[in-house]
Amino acid sequence: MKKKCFMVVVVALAVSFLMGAPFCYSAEPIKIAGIFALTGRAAHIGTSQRDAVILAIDDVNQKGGINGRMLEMVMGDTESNPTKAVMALKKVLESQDVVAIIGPTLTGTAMAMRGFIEKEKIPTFMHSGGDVILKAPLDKKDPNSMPKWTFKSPYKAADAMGKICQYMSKHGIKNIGFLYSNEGFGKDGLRNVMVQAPKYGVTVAAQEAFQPRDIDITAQLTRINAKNVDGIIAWTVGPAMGIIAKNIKQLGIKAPLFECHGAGDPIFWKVAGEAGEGVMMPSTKIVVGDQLPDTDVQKKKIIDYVKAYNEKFKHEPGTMVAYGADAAFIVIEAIKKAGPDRAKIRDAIENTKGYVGMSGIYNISPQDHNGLSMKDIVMIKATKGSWKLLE
Amino acid sequence: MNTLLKQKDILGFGALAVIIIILPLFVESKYYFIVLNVIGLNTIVVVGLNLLIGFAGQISLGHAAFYGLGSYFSGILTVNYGFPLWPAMVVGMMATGAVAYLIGYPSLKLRGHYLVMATLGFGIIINILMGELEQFTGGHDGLMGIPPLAIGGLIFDNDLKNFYLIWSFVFLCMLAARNLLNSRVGRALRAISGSEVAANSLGVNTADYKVKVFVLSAMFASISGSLYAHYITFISPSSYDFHYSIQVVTMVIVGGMGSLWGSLLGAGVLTCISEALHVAKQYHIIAYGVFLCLVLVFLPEGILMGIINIFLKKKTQQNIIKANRQ
Repeated sequence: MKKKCFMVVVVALAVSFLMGAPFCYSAEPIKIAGIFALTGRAAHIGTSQRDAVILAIDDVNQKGGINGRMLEMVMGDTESNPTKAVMALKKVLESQDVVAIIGPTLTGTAMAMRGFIEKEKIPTFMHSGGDVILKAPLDKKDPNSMPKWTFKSPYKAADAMGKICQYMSKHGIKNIGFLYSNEGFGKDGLRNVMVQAPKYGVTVAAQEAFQPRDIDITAQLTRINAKNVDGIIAWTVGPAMGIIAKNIKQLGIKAPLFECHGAGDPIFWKVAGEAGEGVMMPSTKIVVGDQLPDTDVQKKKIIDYVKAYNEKFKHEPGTMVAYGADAAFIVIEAIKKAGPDRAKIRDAIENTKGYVGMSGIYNISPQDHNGLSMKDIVMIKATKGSWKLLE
Repeated sequence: MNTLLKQKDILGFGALAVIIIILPLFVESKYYFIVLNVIGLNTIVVVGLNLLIGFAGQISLGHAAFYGLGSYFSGILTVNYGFPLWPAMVVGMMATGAVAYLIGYPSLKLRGHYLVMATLGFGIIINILMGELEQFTGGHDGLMGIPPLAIGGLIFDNDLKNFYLIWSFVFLCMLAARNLLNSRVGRALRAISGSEVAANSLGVNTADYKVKVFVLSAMFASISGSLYAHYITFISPSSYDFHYSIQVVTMVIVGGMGSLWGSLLGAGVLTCISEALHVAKQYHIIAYGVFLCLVLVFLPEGILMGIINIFLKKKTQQNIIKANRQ
């Protein structure tokens, strides 16, 4: 009997594989693909970006779609893994009429997909952080072979670092310690701080690395503190954000702590708890929308979007949500302008000028497939479970 | 050839060849091709690993590293040093074999599962090195622009061409494994997996055979890694982490330890299931786990032998009933 049950399960799984994968849609809607890290190590970012994109699409559809045609999203999961990301890409491209792609979440998955995207000639708006996506030529031998179909919504990591250094130098912090997680993101931060800090007259007096899964970072902090620094930058996302904040309080270090541009998320309070109080970081304006001056052109848009997000998902959006939302809205605007044609959509995205988004004002050009600048970044301070706008 | 290949195997390999040749006539979608290609790549690793697990009775938790070494040797030599494609692959294979020998030689002399510990640590070290040796590997940003493989003017630059390439290698690797197992070496390996002490007392140099089969299985993984690098054209350390090592060991166990065709089935079933379960959204990992538990509880010998056994049991039962009636 047991074995019969098992066989039923196996047959059911086999059948679901054979007919489950590609869903059937009517020809009417315009299809865009969303590829996110829905599972795996970046799932907390991927799922909130997915929500952001769903909200953007719902918004358009409620207003009657584009020329009467509804938008529909075909979804793919990268599992935070490069191979699976390429598989997800091929899967969403199964439906020939997908006109554009939004995603993926992680830089590694984005890099694996990039070559195939350029070959398939499909406009793709990524929301992964690494600048390398736009900076690295497609062919190593030809430095001019820049990606043509790939765009990305988060501002450059170098600008985020520049913003911190600028803020520090303005507030008399000249001697700093740099603490980074020993993986791609942290290493990228190290390279950036070495370039940006001297520009603003800030000296990196100490640099220490830790492993992303470390549960205690007091040793590194003690060494940094021994250099009498008057500010510390910690470059990491994930649980270590909170561990560093806690360790600093335990050691009684007085130097203010700055974290990276991914920290402005509800998850920060989950991992840091009360120790998070007073930590400063660069962020998109989405988390401090109501504190913006009324003259800010982004203010109304952000407040409306955050309200809708709150109503639908019952929690506050984090800074990463802005990237997902902007990628979706810019692609949707391009479809409105160009119609459902891949090449025309690409050109329309590339000609996006002065678009007011959640993360900033996008001025995309053939030379700059991102379009944000340091002006779009704000400094915020973690205060009582929420965020306070500094400047 | 005929002496080595028994009738049943001629049938099996013939069927495999025919399926490989005619399958593209029925499959149009690029997505199914990439799934098939990933199955092929996994199969090569799993066949090699199964030689080690199923026949030498040793477990390796570092096959992601050997797979990665193949990829990185091919990638680095062709991208950074302009090496020709096929020789780079061969160099990768040889170098990976040499590395495996260095690890296997001391740890396989010891009795017990010391190889597990050695390969576990080795796998993690290699994964860290891939990220840290930035000037060679491109670090965590990965190594991009790896050229596709080519034979003369035939460039393997799309899913269909890669399908034929990868599955030719699957075919050859399986054939090689099959012939190896039916040779004197194979019989020695079977003896070791039956009883190491008995094999030893009959004059089989068990440590030596175990090292050799470990090196061979690392080389299989390296071939697969090279093919992967030239197919996806981009590699980064996250493809070669500890999870991949676990994944291939799971494929060996689900397919059936010591069963060549089981390796193919294990790689196929697990790759497909993990793709198909995406319909379960965030629950897909749970569903995957439940599936693995079901297989291990109800089909502990693996899917292939398990299903065969179910049929055999039914037959014997029927025979007994028949006999009782008479």
